[in-house]
Amino acid sequence: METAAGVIPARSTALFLIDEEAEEFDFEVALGPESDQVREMRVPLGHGIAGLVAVSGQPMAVSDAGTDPRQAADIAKSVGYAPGTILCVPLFYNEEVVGVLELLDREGAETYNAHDMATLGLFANQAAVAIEQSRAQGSVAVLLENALLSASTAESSRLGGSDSRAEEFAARVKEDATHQRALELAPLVGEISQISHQGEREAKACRAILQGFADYLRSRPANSDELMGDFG
Amino acid sequence: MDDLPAWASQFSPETLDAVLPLHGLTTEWAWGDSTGAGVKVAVIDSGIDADHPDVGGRVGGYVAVTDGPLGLQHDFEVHGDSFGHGTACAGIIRSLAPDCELYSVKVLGSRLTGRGTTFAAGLKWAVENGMDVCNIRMGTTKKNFYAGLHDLADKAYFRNTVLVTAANNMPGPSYPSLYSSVISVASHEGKDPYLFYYNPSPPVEFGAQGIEVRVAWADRGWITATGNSFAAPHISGIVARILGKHPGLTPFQMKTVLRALAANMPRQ
Repeated sequence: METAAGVIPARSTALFLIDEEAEEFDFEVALGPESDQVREMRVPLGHGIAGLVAVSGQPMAVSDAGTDPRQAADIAKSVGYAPGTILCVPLFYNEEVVGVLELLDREGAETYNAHDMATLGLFANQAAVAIEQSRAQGSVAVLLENALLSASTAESSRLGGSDSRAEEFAARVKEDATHQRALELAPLVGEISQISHQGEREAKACRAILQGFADYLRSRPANSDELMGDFG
Repeated sequence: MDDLPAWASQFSPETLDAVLPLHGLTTEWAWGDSTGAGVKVAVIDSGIDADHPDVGGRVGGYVAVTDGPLGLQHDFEVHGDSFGHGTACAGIIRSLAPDCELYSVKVLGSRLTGRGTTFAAGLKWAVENGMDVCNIRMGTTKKNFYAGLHDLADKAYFRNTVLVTAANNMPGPSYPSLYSSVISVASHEGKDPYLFYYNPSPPVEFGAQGIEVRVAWADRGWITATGNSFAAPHISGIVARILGKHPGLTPFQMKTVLRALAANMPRQ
């Protein structure tokens, strides 16, 4: 599930859901430096970057969080971790903001750019659906953990995280061969989103290639060894 | 005349108003030394802090729309800015059209519920109260607002109210930015506030400065911010300047002028 691992590396990540009645955020999962402290927090809606994103329904990229008044300085101070760059996107489900996904401290680049914003936005749309569906199944904790792993690098994600159930789940997922193959393909999602900006002809060609390959796969027996024989 | 089809009487040469010719368009013709004086610009957002230096203490009017147990409420008292975003947009517009008349239409508070309703009500107030330009940083993704907002956008179009909307920063539709009657704006990376591009593949028709822009913010401060919502007020400011020099231009004429002056249009 480390879907965006090769696309948006971050030092730390947080995913939190909205408690609409209390008009607060619950930090459902945080991975990275000082994540344990962050998890205990509840934050009023409208507070900090995440609060603004939730209320406005629009993503935000912050290149100098240390001097940005939008950043929740009190939270940074209390947990002892002050990020420099932030990318934050809303999670929409059934046309409502249900939470916020935040990446802290871009790795591999000075700051988050518009492409990062679009890529994480695409990811967030998928994550929100999965999260809401898993709520009904009582598996939201592991799902959230998995979603966070998806949004950042494996290395940074391992820095924190004490929820043993979630860690076990994440570890189990990582060992799964199907998941490993998905990981290898995942960075292509970013490439495909770029193709959508290239023009109609390019998008049409991309659709035709992918559709053709999908049709071919469907026409064959579902045996990965045979596929490896052809393509490995 | 009674046997004419509906609407046909409006096209009688005796009653038809002359329209402005649009040729040889230059920035000098379009806005010249206009400061936007006499043009009412509504900032439909989180409020405006009139005392921010970029706003200069001049806000022509206020309305704050809230949705509570008693239904929609309109409060016309002076208000501030819940977050800073409205002040940021107002500052950008003011920097381009220093003498335009800003109106703060506050539709964004700290509550999530009722956002679409308060936004629609704020836009309705602006359209029905003689605003010339509405700067719209937000929209709604909710499909049940599609028809109502479309009606409002049409009403604005027929009343010569130019709706300048920020395109959604997230993948997915947002209303009213996808309607053909609005000027939908996204960001480009340029640093010239007057540099804008025309996109011949709508729905997002114009690109303006919106990446890493230094803008006014809450508590009389400034931030450097990125987003389509910072591009839209650049176009709103330019539109206000144009209307200051050419009052009465229709929204479609405005689009034509902007298209002609876009940086990617070949010059004769």
